[in-house]
Amino acid sequence: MAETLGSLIDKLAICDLKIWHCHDQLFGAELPQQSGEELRNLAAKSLSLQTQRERLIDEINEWVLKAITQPQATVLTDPKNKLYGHFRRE
Amino acid sequence: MLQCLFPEAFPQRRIVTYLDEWKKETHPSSEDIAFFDEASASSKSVLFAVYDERLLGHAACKDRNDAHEVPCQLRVLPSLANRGVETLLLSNLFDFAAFKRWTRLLVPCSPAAFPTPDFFLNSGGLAIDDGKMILLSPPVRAVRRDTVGSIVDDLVVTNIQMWHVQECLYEPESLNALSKSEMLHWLHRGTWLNLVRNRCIDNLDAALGRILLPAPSENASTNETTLSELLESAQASLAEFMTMT
Repeated sequence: MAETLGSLIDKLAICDLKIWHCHDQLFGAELPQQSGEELRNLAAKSLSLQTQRERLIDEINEWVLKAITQPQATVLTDPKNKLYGHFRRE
Repeated sequence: MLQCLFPEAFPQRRIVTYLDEWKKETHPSSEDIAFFDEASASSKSVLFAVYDERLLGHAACKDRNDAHEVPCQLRVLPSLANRGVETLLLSNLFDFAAFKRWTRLLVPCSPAAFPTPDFFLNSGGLAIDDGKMILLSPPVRAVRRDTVGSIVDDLVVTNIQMWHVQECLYEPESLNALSKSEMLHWLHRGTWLNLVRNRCIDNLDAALGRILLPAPSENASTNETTLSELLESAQASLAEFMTMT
């Protein structure tokens, strides 16, 4: 599925939220209750999330440049067209 | 020499006990955080307080014995120099929750007492460098902070921070439980974040303007003010205002 600017920003916002909560657990008040293994897993997740975050920032930058330099080749919209429940009528 | 601490190496009871003593002796404000200089702990311990105004790099130095505040520059330790100041700024993005709470990880220790696992070296955490205990941010590379993507990221993070502050400020029960100074702190924090948020929005507009509008040629003589000039002027005014506050 083609990525739109909206979907990329959505992913970045979710990624930042995950980092926030990951750091909250890594450095927060619950630290004394966490085992070394849990801390290790959290730190690994933090690293992975930071990498995702950097990649998403790059993708947004590339998307904006492409939208300007090659507007015809850029997917501006990509409706989700959900078809479940009462939303199918909306 | 850079040695990193393994999570299991923290004797947690010792940390808590030490911190209690440390707090009694130094009376740090709730925002004090950062580097603990173990080499001079017996006589004159230096605590660098890095506040959360990440873009200003505001720092202060406190003397452990008489707890007076001495203005100083934000210091980049040699081990962090190759990661760039940007790394320090990035480490502050999630400062209010994480940075503030990192204090509980500050322990006096001997560099030789801890292993150097590659895992923690690669994932940030605490480190001992030249006898000083320092905090390492996650190993984020120094990304440009003036691109559309990075500004969107800043805006998202600022909004997350604002959410947590306003959760406190807009809840009558939690607000009522605060002391006057705490209340002022949170109000200041909320106001500050709102300014940062607006600055992010302005920066985002300016970044788009830079991409969309061609740079004015040096030879072109025109009395018209371009959008980018207006944005730059607004940014400069805002930056000046921020430094004043």
